[in-house]
Amino acid sequence: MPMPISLQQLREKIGALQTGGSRDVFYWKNGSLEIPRGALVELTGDCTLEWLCGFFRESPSLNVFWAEPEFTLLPTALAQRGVNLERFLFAETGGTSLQSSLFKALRLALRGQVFECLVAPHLRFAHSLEEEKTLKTLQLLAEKANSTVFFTTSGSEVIATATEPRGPAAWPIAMRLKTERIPDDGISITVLKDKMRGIA
Amino acid sequence: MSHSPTPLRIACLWFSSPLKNGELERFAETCLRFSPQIALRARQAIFIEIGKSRTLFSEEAFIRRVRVLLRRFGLSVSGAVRSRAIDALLAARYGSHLPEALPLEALALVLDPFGIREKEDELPATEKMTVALQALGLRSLHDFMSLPPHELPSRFGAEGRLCRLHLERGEFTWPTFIPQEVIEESRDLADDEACGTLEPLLFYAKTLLDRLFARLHGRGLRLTRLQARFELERFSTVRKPVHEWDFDLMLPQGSTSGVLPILRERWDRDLQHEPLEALVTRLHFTVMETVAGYDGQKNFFHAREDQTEKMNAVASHLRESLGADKVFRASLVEDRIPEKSWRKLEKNERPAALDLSDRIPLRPTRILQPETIEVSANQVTFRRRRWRIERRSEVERISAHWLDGLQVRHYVRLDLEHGPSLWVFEDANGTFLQGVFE
Repeated sequence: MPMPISLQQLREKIGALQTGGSRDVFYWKNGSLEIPRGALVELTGDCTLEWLCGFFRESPSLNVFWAEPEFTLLPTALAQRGVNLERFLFAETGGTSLQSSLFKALRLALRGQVFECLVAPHLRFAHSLEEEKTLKTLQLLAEKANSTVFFTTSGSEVIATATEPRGPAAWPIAMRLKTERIPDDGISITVLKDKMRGIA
Repeated sequence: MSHSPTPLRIACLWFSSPLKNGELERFAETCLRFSPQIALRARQAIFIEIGKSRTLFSEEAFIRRVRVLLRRFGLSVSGAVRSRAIDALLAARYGSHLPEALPLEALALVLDPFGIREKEDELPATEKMTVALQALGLRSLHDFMSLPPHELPSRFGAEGRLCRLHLERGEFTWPTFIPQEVIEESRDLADDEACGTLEPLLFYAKTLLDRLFARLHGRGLRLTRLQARFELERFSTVRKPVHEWDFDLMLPQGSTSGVLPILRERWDRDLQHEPLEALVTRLHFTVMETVAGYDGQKNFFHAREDQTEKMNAVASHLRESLGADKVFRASLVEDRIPEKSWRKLEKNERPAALDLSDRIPLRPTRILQPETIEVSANQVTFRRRRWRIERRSEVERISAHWLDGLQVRHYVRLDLEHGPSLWVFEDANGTFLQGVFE
């Protein structure tokens, strides 16, 4: 009679968890948080960019590609927070189909294998299967390039959706973080999903 | 304290069949990577002094690298490296520089190693002398060297004396080599090569670009603007016999691998829109703009130059794919108006080193199109949603740019309870949300 299989083992079988393997990581705040390389990371909450600024300030040698369909980022704000803009390449993808233009830009940047980090608003397609296929493509490319793709909320979404993440993270996303402002301009981080540590 | 001069090591490349017009000069340009001291013998030989570069590469490495370049240009040579230019030339041409092994015909090269005196339609000045020497029963340069020197002028004139001096001393003034002003490469496609589709065109383009970049590398330059031209078969039905493209690259490129994807992207798009009406019979590339390349040798311990090269290639490809002004680097501008506090960098421009950390208050991470917002004493209403204000910053008054019609704005940061921090301003027209501290 076959042995019953646990939910944890089932998740590992479909790639929803990646425990046991050793992977490259970026360390944040002296190792208090490990951000996987070659993976997709989703950032939610009300201070995602503030947290990213802190992350890039700690690793000033990273080459970063920052793409947005409509460019609302203020580079001055990044520089004020100690980020080295010389290593940033920005793209306003625009186009008639916003999501596919953004996907194309990310795909090209990942294929170049020169950026350690990519930042983009979350890709949202009308059809969930299309979204998962797109994310899976990016995950494979990110793995090959050993780059981390950070998905953030877009400018208008920040106000519209407030702080709560929308539904569960798509399965190609390796890590989902929630950022929250704490008194004295601090930021707290909650790991909502981490395939490496078995949090799903 | 006196320094002994660096011993000369001169490489000579001898092309067995005379090259086409300008071909030798083009190849000589690529050899500038080894040494700036280069001289040509018209359409037949290149001299390169590599003795002073001996700490940069060995003679074996030099020979290997020259072989690669020759393959790229589809050329074959015989070559030699010796301490004197005349020896290198004779060894490259006849396989040895020893007088015993050299025929009397070699006197033509001995008299005029750089081909300065020689005119294309005239016989070499040594022709008569060679015939006379052969009539006397002399067979090699060794026999010539055994003649008493004082008899040479009376028997063979100044040429005889000069040949002797050149063989004994081997000292010459090198003619200056000046590379061509315009860097261009073209290829005429034969009847069986003519093509009208993208892949074969890219195949031929790659060979030309390889040569182009080898020449640029020799001159220490990198490409920033390139013009490409297709010439089609001349039929009466062909309305546009010449297609031209101007590639204005975002960042300087130093290799074919960076430029070829950009060409593919543009040609693919344009040829779908406007297909070629006949086969392409000639491809032509012209370098329109360049910038200075890397200052020195590649660093042995890191691959930063390679990384920069790859980065430039990806950035230029993204620019080609997304649009000219859509991919950019940013630089800060000393301006309090948020939307004017940064600008897109022009191509090849370095960002300004500006520290704004203490000069202006902290700016929001996102800047939105100003949108009306209602702000009361302790709450804000935006798009029918309400938030309680937790904290308010001091008011920042920005009054610049009155010439552009911008009014005085009073900015304030509002930290919301269970919501993002907003950056709103008030002017004569009302209160507007302009930024988010995300």
